[in-house]
Amino acid sequence: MAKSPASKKNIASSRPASSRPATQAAKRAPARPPAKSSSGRPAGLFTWLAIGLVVVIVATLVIIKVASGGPATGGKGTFTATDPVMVAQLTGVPMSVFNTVGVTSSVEGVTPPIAVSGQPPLTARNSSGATVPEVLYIGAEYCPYCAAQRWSTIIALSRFGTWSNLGNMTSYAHDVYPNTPTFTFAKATYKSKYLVFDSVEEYRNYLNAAGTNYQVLQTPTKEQVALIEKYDTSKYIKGLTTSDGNPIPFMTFDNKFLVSGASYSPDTLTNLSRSAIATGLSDPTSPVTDAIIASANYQSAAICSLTNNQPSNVCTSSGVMAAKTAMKIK
Amino acid sequence: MNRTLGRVPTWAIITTFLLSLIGLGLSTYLTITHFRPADLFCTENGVFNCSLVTNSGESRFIGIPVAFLGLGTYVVMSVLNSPWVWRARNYWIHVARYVLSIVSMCFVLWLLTAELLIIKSLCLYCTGVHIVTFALFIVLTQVSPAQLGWVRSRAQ
Repeated sequence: MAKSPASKKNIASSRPASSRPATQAAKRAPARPPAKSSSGRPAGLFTWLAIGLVVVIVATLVIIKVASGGPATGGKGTFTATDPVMVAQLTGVPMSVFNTVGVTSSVEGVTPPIAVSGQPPLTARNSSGATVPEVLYIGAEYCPYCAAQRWSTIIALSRFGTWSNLGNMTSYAHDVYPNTPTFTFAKATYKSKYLVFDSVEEYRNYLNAAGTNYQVLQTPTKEQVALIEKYDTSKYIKGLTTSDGNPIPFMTFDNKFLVSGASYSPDTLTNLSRSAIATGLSDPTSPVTDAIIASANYQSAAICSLTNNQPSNVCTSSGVMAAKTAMKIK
Repeated sequence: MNRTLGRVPTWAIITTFLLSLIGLGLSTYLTITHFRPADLFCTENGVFNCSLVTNSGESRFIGIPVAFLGLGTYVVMSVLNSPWVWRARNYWIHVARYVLSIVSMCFVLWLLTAELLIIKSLCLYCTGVHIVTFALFIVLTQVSPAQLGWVRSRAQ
């Protein structure tokens, strides 16, 4: 094949540019415009393939992101309000499910709150100014045990009052039971004529900038720290040792019942989505539902003992009565 | 083996150098705020949340803060894209520049995946670095393969 004039030019342009005498290059310039245009013209096939590949990957990521629920997150700390439908599933568990489950969990043992006696009551004023028993929760967003506990606590408390502003959350991605689906109390409010609920989410579910600890979220008051240091110890919690410190989640129900650690294992929730767990709450044959509802019944029984068994439809239900019997509450 | 280098237009040299300096500035800021998170100024909304991204588990790669990797990359990139180094005769310097751009682009795609699918928030300044990296990748993909003799330019 005969060489075209253009191929001659290319051979010339393949010499190192820096070794080409300027004058010679200048002489050649009018005769070889393609050499100059080789980089100045629109990109060739190689360029477009590379750029196209990047664009396709980015577009795919964006599509996946949009399809998976928009910009909001529940995974790593940014507050995302829980969907109203899911809140309804949590707070609207049928009475028949509570009663069918009782305190029986087919998966594993569910731990009831620990009864303590002779302690000063923990009270607070509710929104109408009345002094009522307080339920205090201390936990953290990273904590998978807190993640499990929140499911049953939210459900139990919803029988005595109304939740608002619950947020979606998952436990820390690189801890045991990573990414356990749950909720956060960080911005939640709870209204009840029977009791006051107070919560402290001490840390977020990601590390601080130095990577030394979890990012601080909320700090307990001195009074709350005093309660933790007094009750979240081996003196009141059987099985705790000094080396355990003050485990979370920690809950006190008017200082008459205590919870230290999850009431059931977070493993129960492993590999389940938040919506799958919530949807299953109306199914008493689900092992996951059993664990959550049994724990909710135990906590309901504890609360009933603080509210003079009000509301009566809750406190005299067979599920709560079963929990009272198991906890030896009169 | 006779390695020869093609010509690179002046606009590409200027553009890559300026982009590298912008990337260097952004990654320097991100490195500073890695140590002083309070200095990180960023809008927090449903899409952007810088502190969430820079404090996430994905903000480290094999234990090294990604901000450091970005700074290191752009220090090297700024040197490689300086007009003086563009004029270098050493073939492998120019190979290194393009390979670094490709590796950086791949790493940006990983970070974007982490931001969109794992952390579910974007970091404004990180996105700035990603855009600069992509722009550099486009310019270098347009000139480097032809410069290195890997592809024939349209003129050929």
